[in-house]
Amino acid sequence: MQEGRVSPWAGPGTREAHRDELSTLLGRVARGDQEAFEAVCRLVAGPVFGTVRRVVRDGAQSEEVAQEVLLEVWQCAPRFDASRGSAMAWITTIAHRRAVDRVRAEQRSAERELRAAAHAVAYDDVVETAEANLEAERVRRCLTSLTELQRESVTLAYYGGYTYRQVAALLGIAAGTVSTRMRDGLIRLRDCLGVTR
Amino acid sequence: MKPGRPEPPTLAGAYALDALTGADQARFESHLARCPQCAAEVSGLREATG
Repeated sequence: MQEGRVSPWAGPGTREAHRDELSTLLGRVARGDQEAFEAVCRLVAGPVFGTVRRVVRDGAQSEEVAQEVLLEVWQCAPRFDASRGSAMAWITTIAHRRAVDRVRAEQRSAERELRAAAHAVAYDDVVETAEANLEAERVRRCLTSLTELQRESVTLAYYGGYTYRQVAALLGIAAGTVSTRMRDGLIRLRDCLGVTR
Repeated sequence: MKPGRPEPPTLAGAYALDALTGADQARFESHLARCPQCAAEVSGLREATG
């Protein structure tokens, strides 16, 4: 298990968000404790916004989505199961899914084209925050340990919000190949980041 | 399973990246419900992204 580990993808502020504290707080939130919910919000607001912003990009929309994420945390806290992963992973998973939902909902084909160009450099975004965030530096380093196809497949889906079929079309390779590269890339990334299970 | 389509387990990475939609997502989720190892694999892969 990854006791004490916080999301390396989630941006500055995560290091303070200790796993045990967050997990305990979520248990209280599940029972309707508003004070615990406020504490959760203080711990996760930064990582949630960071996760959303890297996908949605627009600041105002990212704030809206981040609010939706916190609301979902409040509503769905009873479903959090600590035996299935860390509280921060559970919350950033919600944040990422909501972010890609937003991107997909508003996308038109012309915007898609622009986004494809923007996300070609998506992984440089991680580099931007590296100075302020040692964890992001680890992610950057670990992304470079992936093969080019693994890295492109993972970053286009994660940062770009593309489905694996869209990634396949963008890269001009078979969808089955993309799904395999995504899986292999995530395994390599997880191993590189030192997440042990 | 039609030939040439990926078997559900290889979709674990795409699913962990929220990169499945529509029928792909529905098909994989119904597979997940019957496959505890696949669910565990998705949780494991999500520790890399979450």
